[in-house]
Amino acid sequence: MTDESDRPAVDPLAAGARAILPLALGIVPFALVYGVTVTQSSIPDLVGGSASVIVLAGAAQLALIDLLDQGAPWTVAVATALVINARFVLYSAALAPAFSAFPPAPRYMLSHLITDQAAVTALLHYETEHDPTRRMRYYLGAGGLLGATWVLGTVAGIVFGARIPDAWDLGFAIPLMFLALLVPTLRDRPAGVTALVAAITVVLARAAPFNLAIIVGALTGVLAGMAVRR
Amino acid sequence: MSLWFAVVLAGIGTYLLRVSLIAVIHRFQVSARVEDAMRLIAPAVLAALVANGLLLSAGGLRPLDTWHAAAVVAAAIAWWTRSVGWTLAGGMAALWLFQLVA
Repeated sequence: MTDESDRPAVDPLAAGARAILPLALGIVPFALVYGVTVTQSSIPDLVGGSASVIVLAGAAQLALIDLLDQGAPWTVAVATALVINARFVLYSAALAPAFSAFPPAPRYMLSHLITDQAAVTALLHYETEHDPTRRMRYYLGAGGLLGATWVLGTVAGIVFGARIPDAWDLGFAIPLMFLALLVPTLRDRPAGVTALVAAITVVLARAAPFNLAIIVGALTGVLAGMAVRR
Repeated sequence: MSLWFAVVLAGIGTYLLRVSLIAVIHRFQVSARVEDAMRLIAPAVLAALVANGLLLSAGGLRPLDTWHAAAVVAAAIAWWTRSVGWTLAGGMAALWLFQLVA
């Protein structure tokens, strides 16, 4: 047992980057696939590549590029991307208590780095880390590495292309990443009920348009978890 | 031109979703009840994403296959190791092993 001042000076920036490294590696194939999708579409490479910086959300970007390429109205394409990203509102709520202790400039800049991977990695870490400055650097390390990997990976996919054999079945890596993050969050009964109800709701609501099932499932799960917590 | 417009609009909209409650909540004191609900957000969203990725495919149910067997192995690894790295490595290794067998 050591007190605060004796703690080894591990830079939280490096700790955040190290914690997210496996997930950053995990998104590389997905980033390459996005880049290749852009080159094979009618969307100019510069537009598709810039989307990685401007939108910074894989599933939404793929849907956006796909719909625009098919000639869908821009309203439909943008609305679909935003519904897919509606879950970020929930991460925004969960991160708000930590982010509210940051000065405004980093608070609003780090908000752009909210992704599934970075938000959950930080939320798990924040259970034991309460110092605002260290929390801020941790988020920069985790969110920054994931975001930079996404941008560079998609650019690499555009510039060099990629031939990823179908036999590798790398599509599994995406749900696998979410599963790896999910399990550590199942720390008590309300969390377990939340996850179970969310998953069942997604399956039941699978016919809902615009990928609405995910946000509906997540909200229903939170309500169920609240109900058993009381 | 309208392509740029769509990408920028999607970017602005996504940023507003990300910043939404961070911008609002820092002005208010959050009640214990709301804080309880916030702790359920990560399991809720992740379970929804896992269900969408593993159980659904193109709007229908995904038939049972090697993905599900590998997911069970990965969940066990995640439970015992609590390590994202080992879970990803073990999950992919299990998938490729099951493909050889199946």
